[in-house]
Amino acid sequence: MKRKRHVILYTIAVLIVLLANFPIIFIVFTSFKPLVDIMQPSLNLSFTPTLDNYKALFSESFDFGKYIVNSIVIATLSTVIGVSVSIPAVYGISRFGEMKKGVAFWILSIRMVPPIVFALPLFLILRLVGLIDSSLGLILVYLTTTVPLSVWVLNTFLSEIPKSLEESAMLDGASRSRILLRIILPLIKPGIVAVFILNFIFSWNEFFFALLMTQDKAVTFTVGMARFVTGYSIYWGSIAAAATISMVPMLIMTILVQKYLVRGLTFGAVK
Amino acid sequence: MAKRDNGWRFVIPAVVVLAAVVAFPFGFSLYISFTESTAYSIYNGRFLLLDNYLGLFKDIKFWDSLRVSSLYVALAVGIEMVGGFFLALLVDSLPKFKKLFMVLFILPMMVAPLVYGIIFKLMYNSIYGFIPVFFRDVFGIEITPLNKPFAALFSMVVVDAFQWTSFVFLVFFSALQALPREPLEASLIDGAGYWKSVWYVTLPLLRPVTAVILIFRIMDSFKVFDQIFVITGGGPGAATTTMSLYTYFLMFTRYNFGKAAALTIIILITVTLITRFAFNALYKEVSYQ
Repeated sequence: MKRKRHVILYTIAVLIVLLANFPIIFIVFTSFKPLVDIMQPSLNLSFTPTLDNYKALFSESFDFGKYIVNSIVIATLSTVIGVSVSIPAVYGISRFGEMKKGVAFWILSIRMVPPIVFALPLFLILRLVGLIDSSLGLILVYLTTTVPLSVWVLNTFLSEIPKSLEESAMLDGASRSRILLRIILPLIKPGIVAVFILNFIFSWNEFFFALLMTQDKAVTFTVGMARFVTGYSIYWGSIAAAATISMVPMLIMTILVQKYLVRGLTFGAVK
Repeated sequence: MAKRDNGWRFVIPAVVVLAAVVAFPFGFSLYISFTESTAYSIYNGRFLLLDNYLGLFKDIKFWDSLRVSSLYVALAVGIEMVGGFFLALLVDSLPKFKKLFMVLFILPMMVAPLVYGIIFKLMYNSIYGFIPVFFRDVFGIEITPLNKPFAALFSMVVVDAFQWTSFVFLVFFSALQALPREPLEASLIDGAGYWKSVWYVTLPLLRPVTAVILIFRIMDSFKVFDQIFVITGGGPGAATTTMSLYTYFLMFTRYNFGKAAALTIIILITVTLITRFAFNALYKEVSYQ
């Protein structure tokens, strides 16, 4: 009786997994299909797998390699800078009660603002200072998200460390900076790794700002892919290959941070 | 030496960065929203006071985009909240492999929304797209997901739901894991039946977390841009032109920066009011934490 119920539950769960991930499975399969089979107006499940789509992607006509390199550079640097300024900030906020509320609330409220609110002024400012279509410009723009995200997620890790640890170090004459470097930092290591990955995924997946702020040199893979599908002829095979390449590292990272995903995605509102 | 170390110096780098990339641009945008800023006079447009805002209220396209956004948010968030909740109950009731199923269900939200848009653009294609072909060959129904106004909007909602039900699921699921088991078990032993127990015991306990999920989903679906931009570009007509897309068109096809800035301020106010309202309505009566 109970066994039968379990079999039903697992069957439903597996079917929903397949349905929920269908778009991902579909595009991975498509990336190995010859173009004629992709554009076939009928349900055909049999095809001879090919790597041609991947080969074409890195040929001159697509330039996908350049886009991927841009994405890696921009995502890495905006993450490193964002996390580096956030670590001391979160220490300051969590250990010094009186300013906690004001600064912390201000930083959280930034998350509430739709990015389009910052898009226009940031575009105009970058244009004024000549940083449109530069990696540096986009890295600065991404700090609007990576800093608040890092502060809030790290805050949840820091608040779990007992203050008595620090107090005894202070009695031994250690300075605040020393405490941060020698005691706090090693203790919140998992938090730093989690925040690093979450920020990287955000910057990697971002499209809207990149669309506005780049034209040619600094184009990231999302903007590059959008161009692939708005041209006259759409090479679905190579687009599917590009989607697969861009997706797989993120899926692996997701599995690595799944434990901290909830607090990352809700800015620490839910642990 | 005995100077009181109040910790400000630790916060200064972050505050400087945020002042430069957030506070200053926001102030700048607010200023522009009161001026006649166009491609020819971006930074020194004539001061208009409230004309940009009043112009928007008289603009049919603005009201259309507000209607499209509201409908999109209501449908997408509704489907995702219900779907994510039942999915969380399902995975929570599995005796084994909960973690494995959890990971499998959260994958969609980690893919770039733009990539999801591109996948669905291919699947929606009216000639060789998987979805029309599937409906025609299996059910014998001819569908064209992107041709009619409401169908197109609903097709956009489907993309959103495919990606973000996983977020609702994840947060509900982790909240369920953290709930005390006794109340539900007691209710089941009393013979209340599973669904009755869920309704009277589990749901009230989940109220605070429901408020948090709802707010995040409203905020995030309100700013939707990527998928719609790449699938329909706002069409057919203006059927899928959300407030974000309309702002984009004001900025980069009409170069009316003043009006676009005013629209972003209105978006900000709208989102703030809706999330405030949702939060107050759901959160206040809960004494359990």
